[in-house]
Amino acid sequence: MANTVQTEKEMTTFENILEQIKIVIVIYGIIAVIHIVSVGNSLTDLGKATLVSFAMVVISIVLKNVVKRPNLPGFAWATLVSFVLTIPVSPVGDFIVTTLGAYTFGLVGLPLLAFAGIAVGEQLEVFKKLSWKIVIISFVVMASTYFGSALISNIVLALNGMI
Amino acid sequence: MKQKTGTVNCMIAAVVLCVLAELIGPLKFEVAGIGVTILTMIWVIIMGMLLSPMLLGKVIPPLKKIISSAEIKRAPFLLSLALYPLGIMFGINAGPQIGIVMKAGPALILQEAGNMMTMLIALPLGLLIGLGRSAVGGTFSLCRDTALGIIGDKYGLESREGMGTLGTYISGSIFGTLFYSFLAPVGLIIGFHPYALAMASGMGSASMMNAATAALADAAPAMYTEQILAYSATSGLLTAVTGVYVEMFLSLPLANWYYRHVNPAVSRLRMKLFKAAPEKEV
Repeated sequence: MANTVQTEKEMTTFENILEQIKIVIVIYGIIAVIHIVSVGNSLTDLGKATLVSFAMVVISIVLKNVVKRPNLPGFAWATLVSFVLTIPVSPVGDFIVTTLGAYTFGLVGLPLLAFAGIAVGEQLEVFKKLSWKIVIISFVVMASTYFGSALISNIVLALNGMI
Repeated sequence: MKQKTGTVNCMIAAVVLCVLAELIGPLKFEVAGIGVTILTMIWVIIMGMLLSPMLLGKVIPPLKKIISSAEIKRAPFLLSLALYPLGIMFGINAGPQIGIVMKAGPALILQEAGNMMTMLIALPLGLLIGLGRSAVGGTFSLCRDTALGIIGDKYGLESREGMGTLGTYISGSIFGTLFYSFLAPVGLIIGFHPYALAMASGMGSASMMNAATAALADAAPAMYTEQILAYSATSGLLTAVTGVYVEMFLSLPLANWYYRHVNPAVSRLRMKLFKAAPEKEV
């Protein structure tokens, strides 16, 4: 165990990036399997979409590990990279959007929900010690931020005549 | 021999869960005349939770060998990496529509203030049921990782404020994705426009945002889908960039100010309702 901690400390940024990329490749495998089972895409289309998406993820992982200021979450980097590459003036924008058309949005998000579910196991032990009061409050908190933001958006969008 | 990290078993479990959930498909039924849909994504979350050694593992001992504490400890890291492909999907839906997104700019920016509304009802309610200062820590924001850092820094996570923040954090980690996949369709029933709900989805947690957005896109008419994803992506991006500063310089001071102003009144109400002694400060 002491050995692992040691090696983890000695891992360079480059090794970190490499390890994360390896795992991402497997995750793309899972995403492909889910698509084959539920949509039945052609393998060529799926392969192309995977390669293009993967290339952008590699850029995002490198940015996440190298840029420390602003310290954005990896998810935000991925959104930012694909956002910038697909704005109308981008020469590769059309190509990226068309190629990634083989992916179904909901299915790409499925593996992470499986991990989210499995990760809950660690919290259950602590959860038993929580007061029921804070659990109730947390639900009010979650609903308030969501409906609070929605209320403001709804009003402003209506005032601007956009809805 | 390599140290067992849990990566392999977690991946296998994820494939099995996702395929199984796809095969079950969405389940539609009626409760008292109201249509309820259990989405595929909800199956995945629930089955993932059941795999815990503390739940199904207790009933089926061999399961403990496949999903042990190593796998559970590894899952959050894998989750953070699975977010990358999803982030790409959000981005490619927003990029081509940058014109529309810019036009909705005022709404997108102003709704960020909604992230401070966490405390509006929750803080007085927390005080009423006797959480005291924990109510400040537990309600000043959605209490994701950045909030743990801020509160840990200022009060320490073992303080009353810290206990509140940790409480909302843990409860959110367990129920958040499930809760939001039910809440998004409820928002439509209440009468919110799908675009408004999409903009509200960027709250500071990517997995909760995904759950809210996917459930919303599923429940709203198909013609709204593209713009739902575009607005949600931009809102998520805005929160990722501004979130920590808003929490530190606006939300927390606001929660403390709010606490000072509502606590006396709530304490009096508590005495009347429960005949309880006022919450003692620690």
